[in-house]
Amino acid sequence: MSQVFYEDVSEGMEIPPLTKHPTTRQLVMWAGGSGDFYEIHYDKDFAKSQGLDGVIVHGRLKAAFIGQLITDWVGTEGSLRKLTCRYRGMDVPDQDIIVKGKVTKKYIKDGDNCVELEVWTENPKGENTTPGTAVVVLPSRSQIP
Amino acid sequence: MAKASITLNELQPKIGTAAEPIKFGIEQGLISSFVQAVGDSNPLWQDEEYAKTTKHGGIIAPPWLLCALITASLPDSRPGSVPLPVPEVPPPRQHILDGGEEWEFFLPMRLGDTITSRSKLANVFEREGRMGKMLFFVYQTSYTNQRGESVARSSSTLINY
Repeated sequence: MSQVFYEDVSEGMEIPPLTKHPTTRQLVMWAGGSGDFYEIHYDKDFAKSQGLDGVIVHGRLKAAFIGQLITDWVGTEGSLRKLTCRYRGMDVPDQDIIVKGKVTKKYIKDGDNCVELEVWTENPKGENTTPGTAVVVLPSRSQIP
Repeated sequence: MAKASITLNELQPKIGTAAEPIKFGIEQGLISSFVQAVGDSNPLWQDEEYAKTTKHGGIIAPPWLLCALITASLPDSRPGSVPLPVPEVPPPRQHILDGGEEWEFFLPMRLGDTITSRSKLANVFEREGRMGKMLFFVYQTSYTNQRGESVARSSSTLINY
């Protein structure tokens, strides 16, 4: 896997997007692992009884997708330090969720090469359903031989 | 509708209520099942030989694992129940939405670690929202490893209306 360095990053640059396509099977696996057995995530009739069109993707699974976007980008030598997100819109399974990020700020603090990001998920209509922010620490080219 | 009559004034004294701590072992089976659910094939989470060549020197858990474990309290088999970080103080109104979350990561969780999570109800307040007056439950959770080191901290908000 390729490694991104602090020197490679500039404010405003987009990071490589990640396309996810969660299936209902993945939602059930997430439910089983996380203990979030709320029926709106796997029982269509229940979801409809709650006024939804069908089952919806767990908000925290989308947060995990954003986590993956970031750990893919920072590589093994970078670290995710902070992640925030709001569950603004609902997403449904069996369609694309595109996870995106953009560099908003870079600075050195206490010797760490910090990069701040705006991160979000988009549904196929291009609507931002999970806006968030992140702080990562990247290695410098001068630190790694 | 007896439950709906619980007021903000009655909930506020519950601020500070702590849930039972939850322990979980960072085992390969746990990591692998979430890796499958998320579809994240990063070898750092699963391939020891690869992970040895990185600064971590071995497999670590993906930080996003905590996105799942925030709700890993005791399973509740009652239909319609939602996972609560502090089940001791149930939100009184009918509907619950996840508002949002934030996580801070201090140290990686390594294979073989035992993590203890401790959640408390940090705040309850009421605000006018899209659905009328809504209650906001704010939880804070700290995560420590078996050496007592703080590995992460999170804050999450549930909206109850």
